[in-house]
Amino acid sequence: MASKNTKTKETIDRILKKILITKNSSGQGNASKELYKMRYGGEWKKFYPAVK
Amino acid sequence: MKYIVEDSSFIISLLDTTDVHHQSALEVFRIIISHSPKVRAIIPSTVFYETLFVLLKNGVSYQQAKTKLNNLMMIDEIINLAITETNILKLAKHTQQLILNKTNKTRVRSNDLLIASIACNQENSCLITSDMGMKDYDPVCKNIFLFNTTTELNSLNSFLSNPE
Repeated sequence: MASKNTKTKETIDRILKKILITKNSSGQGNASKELYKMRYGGEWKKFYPAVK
Repeated sequence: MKYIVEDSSFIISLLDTTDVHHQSALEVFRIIISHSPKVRAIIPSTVFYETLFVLLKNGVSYQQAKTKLNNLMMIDEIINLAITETNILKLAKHTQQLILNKTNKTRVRSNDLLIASIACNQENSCLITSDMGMKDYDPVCKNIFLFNTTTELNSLNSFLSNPE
């Protein structure tokens, strides 16, 4: 069971390496803020969720 | 099989490691993959485009955005749902109910409606987002989970763990 979990974690980490946009290449960063600006215009701050 | 319809807010926070909600999105992504092959994530083409648009607008290079999104769509657990005219017409019955029963009727976005309609149409599905505005559709679309809150993350886990 332990080896199965390890394999799963390795698989997930391998996938993440392929999809994550790292700090050095991520443009301005915090991209979800841009999404809320697009969706809500001038009112975006009212809707932008706080970090848990 | 359980299905998770992903909103752009989730994908953007997942991909961008500098995003304030990245860790929450990462946690959900690990949950999705760890439930494979019993769980599949649905990314509608409109969500795909919105994600690409936001990344580019935020300064991510075209090559980087193209590579990362292509890799995302190639993941076995991801279903790319093409939005055709036929799909839209089939989803319209849900769209009508969502409009009629929306909590806040003053703010309606067609893309939100489309994503919520897909979640309504697909059996054993839920919708994940960080956008509180999407929760206005919960009178009809019951399983809308905010991935950035602990309570709703627990609800998502319960949804995935419950037998169909």
